[in-house]
Amino acid sequence: MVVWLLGEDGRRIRAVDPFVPTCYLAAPPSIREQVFRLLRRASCRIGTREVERYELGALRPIPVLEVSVHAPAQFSSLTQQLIRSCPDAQFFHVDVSLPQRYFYDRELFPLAHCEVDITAEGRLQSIQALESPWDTDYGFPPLTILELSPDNPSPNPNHGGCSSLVVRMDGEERLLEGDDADVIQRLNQLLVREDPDILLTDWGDSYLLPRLMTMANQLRLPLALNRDRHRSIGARKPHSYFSYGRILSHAGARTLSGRLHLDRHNSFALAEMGLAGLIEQARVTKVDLQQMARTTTGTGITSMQLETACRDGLLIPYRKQEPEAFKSTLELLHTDQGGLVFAPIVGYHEQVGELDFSSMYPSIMVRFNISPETVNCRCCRHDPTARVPEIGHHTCRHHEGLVPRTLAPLLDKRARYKRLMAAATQPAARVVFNQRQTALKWLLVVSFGYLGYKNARFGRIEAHESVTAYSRDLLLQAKEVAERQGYRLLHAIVDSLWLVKPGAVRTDYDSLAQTITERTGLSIGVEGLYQWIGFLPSRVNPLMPVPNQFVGLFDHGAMKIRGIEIRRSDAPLLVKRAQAEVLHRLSEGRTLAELREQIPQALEIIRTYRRHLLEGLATVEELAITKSLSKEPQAYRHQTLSMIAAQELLARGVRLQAGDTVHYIMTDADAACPSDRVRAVAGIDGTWSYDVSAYDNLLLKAALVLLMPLGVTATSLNESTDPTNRAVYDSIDSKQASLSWDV
Amino acid sequence: MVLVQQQTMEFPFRTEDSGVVIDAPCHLLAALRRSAVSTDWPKGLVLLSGPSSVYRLGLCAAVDRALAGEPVLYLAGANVFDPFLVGRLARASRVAPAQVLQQIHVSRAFTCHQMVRLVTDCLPSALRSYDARFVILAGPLDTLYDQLVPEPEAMRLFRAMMDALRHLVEQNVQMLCVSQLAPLESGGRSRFMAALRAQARRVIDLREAEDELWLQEEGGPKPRRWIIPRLLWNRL
Repeated sequence: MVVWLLGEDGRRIRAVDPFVPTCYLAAPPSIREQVFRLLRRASCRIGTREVERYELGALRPIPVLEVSVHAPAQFSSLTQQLIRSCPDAQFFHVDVSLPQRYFYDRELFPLAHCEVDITAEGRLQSIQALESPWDTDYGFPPLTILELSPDNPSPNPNHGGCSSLVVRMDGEERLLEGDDADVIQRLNQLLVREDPDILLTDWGDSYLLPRLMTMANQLRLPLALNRDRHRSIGARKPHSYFSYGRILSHAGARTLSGRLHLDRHNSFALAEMGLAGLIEQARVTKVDLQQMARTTTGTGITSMQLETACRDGLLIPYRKQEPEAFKSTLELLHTDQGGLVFAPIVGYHEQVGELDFSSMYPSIMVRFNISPETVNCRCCRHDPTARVPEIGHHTCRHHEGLVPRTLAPLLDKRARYKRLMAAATQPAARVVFNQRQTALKWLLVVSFGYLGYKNARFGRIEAHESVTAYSRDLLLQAKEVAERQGYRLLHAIVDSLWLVKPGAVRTDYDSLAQTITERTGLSIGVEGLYQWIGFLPSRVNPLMPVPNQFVGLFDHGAMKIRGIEIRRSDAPLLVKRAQAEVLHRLSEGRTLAELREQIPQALEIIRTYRRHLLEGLATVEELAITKSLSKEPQAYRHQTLSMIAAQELLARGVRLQAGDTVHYIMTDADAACPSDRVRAVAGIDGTWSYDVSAYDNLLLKAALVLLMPLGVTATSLNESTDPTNRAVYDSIDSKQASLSWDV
Repeated sequence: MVLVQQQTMEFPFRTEDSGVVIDAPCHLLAALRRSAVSTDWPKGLVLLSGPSSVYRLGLCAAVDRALAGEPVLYLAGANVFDPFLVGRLARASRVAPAQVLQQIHVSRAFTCHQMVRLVTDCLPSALRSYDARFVILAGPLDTLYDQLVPEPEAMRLFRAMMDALRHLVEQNVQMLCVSQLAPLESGGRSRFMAALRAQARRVIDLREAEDELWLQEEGGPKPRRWIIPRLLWNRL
């Protein structure tokens, strides 16, 4: 295993650790003979021995053959060959990535501060971490970063537009221009001279690195992207995948050896939690930084579970085979439910408090010992205290499960970061603690989904059902406690409650949270007190409430916004800006009466934006709509706007797959000829126009959702903000005469 | 709307024009019993294939047997099991939904490895536990189309599943296999459906038109065809 070390003297050292990975197989003697025949033909040294190991939840160990491969580079091909040749054998530990196995085995983690003993030839004699991945006060190693970006006006350079290369290092920015040979030579000089530890790019995976490598190959020029000259650059093709009911696109990967390549446009972790959060995730999950930046958070939580299993000496199955136990449809109806939701009372409300259970689902898994092997265990089936509320499952009261053991330290560490964040006096430190706690929050969030995910190594649907059953029970308990103390429930969704009680102040809500925590055994806190909060109605039926769609003004002046355009990735910037300005104006009102007084100014904002649109002043950036393709472009049957934009891009040679985003502008949304309806942003030149009416409609909808509960109707909104109607404008300006708003 | 009645199928529906109200999901069940997806067929494997609507039809067959008081085992591979449809069909037959819901025993498989394990290992013991003879296998191939599973492995699993099905049918288990058509990108795996059809004693294809759904049985001396009006289908 090649390990890159950064010495205290600043030297970058390539070391080799003689790591020997192992796998296991269970098979009858006849198949074992075949395995031995194959192993004898292997070109590297192989060790075998008969051992006994436990499967997760098994009462007795099973005899297995342990196979040690003394050339890690051959481990994957050898195990795949075994799997193909002996399909009836059961394999274990065969598909865990070797860097992860190395980290588990050596009790190391990415970017760990280590003590090493190394020979002059670079062979590691020993390596030991001097810190724990559960420490919260660790520092960043002094890594040097070189940034590369395309200088391209298009939202996605893969969709068109020619560009130069922008390079940044140590706060200095330069543009690499000229012919291809010049660009490659100057970049190579920079890479050799500066020898950066991290190559931080924009569009590096899908655009920059593939093009730079092609250019260098065609010109036969060296390009030292890799620090490790012994290795080639890792490449993964783009692909689409499903996650939480949505199809997403992954831009592929270009990974480096001896140096890290991180692409800001191909990393959920970097976008959500920054570099500090990414490093935190890599440390606790033991997934190497380049992979952690590109993979799903679920891979991280899986790695933590695999490490727990390895530490306990459990076998990690190659494929999960255990299906759901048979249950009657009646039981299915009772058990297969999600979290509990109490629909909101539509409208604006004053002096509301929000209480949130802290990391509710993972906390339930830990507190009630929910894990694939503990649900419906044999030992506790008659124990009434082991019963899961409402449904017929029970959880083990004797043996702590693998999932709770994995999650407990995560919950604890996140709580410590939150305390550190609250106590931090330096803004920079607060930002770092926040990024780190966000990194852990995401691991905790996906830990629940992975209990029911089909490919989760340690998932089981009954465990998933048990978590939601507990959550429904706990939310009901919280509601009962609150109502007993005179609070009125306005809305509740899974782990959050919005409550109101005349005259209640912060200490009352804190006291209520304390009582609920004592009653349920799960920590609940006051998220905040709102001066006012508006639960917004359905756009289809104004009488219909919509869970988790609200705007609220906290008593400290910040706003919490959910479910409206400003939070949506597919709303045009112009609409988001208009909605943000309206909300800012509404936030000037501290009471409902003051809120109503802001309506004329809010309407004036909309009127200004409508005039901006009507006068043709809106820019491409303001109008661009970003949509994700929900299927492969050729699978669309109808000419949706995103499909038309995709067709335009395809015709220009752009490669698209399901999950890719397209950026377009509505040019004539109702045109008879589909290609006239939209234009892809990347193809827009000097001659373009936009559909004023279509954008005007979006703008009015974004305003109406906020103002309807204040009594503004669609008609009154349209008339009172009509930029061509001076009379209405004057009447609003002079005192809201034509409008009525009852709450 | 004109109801086309063909071959031996006697749908008890009439148009409103001819004076008899179309009133009935329960009539659909009765009709199914005497027809294509009859649950009174001689022992063997019946394959019902077509667009995604086939899964609802499969569930109708399950409810029909459950209404007769027979336990039904429902193996769900396509993750489209709809317990609310079971309830609606029970109510339409003037039976308490709970009574029917308790007669249908479900297990869901989310990967092909789980699906094959379900058929090969879990199903035989479930048949004994619930004293059941009637099995609906919904979407047995869906999980095998997963491109993350290498094709040779999918082939091996498919063969194992087919061996187990053959064995169960020989044990006089009634098996209704409900399967969607192979997706376009299934490549070599499109052979699974052909192999399944070859093994089935009867093969019925469902086709959809704007006003109706067609059930057509292949083979035999003359092909048979039945029609379900869209009006009724949409009310299910």
